[in-house]
Amino acid sequence: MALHHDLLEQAAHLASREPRRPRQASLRRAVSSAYYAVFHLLSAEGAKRLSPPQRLLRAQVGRAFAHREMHEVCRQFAAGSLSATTAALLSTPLEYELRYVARVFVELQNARHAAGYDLSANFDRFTVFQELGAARRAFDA
Amino acid sequence: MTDLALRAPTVADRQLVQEIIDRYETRRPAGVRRVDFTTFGEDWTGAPAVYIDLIVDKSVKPTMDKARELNDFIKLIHDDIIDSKFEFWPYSRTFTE
Repeated sequence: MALHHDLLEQAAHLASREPRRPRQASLRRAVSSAYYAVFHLLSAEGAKRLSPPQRLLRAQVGRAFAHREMHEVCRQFAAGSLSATTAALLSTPLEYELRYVARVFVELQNARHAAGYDLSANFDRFTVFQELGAARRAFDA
Repeated sequence: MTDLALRAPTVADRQLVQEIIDRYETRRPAGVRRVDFTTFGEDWTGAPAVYIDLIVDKSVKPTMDKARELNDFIKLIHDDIIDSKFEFWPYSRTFTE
């Protein structure tokens, strides 16, 4: 199974661990895994479209995807307002599903940052299930 | 790097968000006590952000189905905010009380 599928499965596992009193560590890592699942999904799909079919080259292209830059591009996609540089890369109109995936990416990335570094935030299962659900929907889009 | 400069929210900014939240008041899923937006600030990249809080009754059991329902609801609000070309990007958080 591809890495992004494994990460999504891991997120679901962590989100449902400790059914009665979930640990913050499990919930936070679930959010993180859900984010990385979508990150690697987009990286893999992007590399597939941008690189020659050789596996090694594709992996190298995949490694070029950076979190902050993806955040900026995804914000543009989600808002449906592309910069001239980004628009020049597209040959077809923005599809609704792609805008939705971009929106999920932006939201998950911010949640992952809070999950990783904001110790004042308290994660509950609702929030984590919502992030997981959004990630799953991005996979299906 | 993001070129979005952080500025203080104006009364008009707050009104716009409140109007959008109010627009969907009748579509709140069961168990949602209220929708707040108390925080204007920034996201992890430093870009302007508005945090919308969904306050859910603590008696509501957290399930994937309920989470989906909440996501569908919050998406309505987010979409409206994003489509209005609002400078502050909407993020949501869910709290129980």
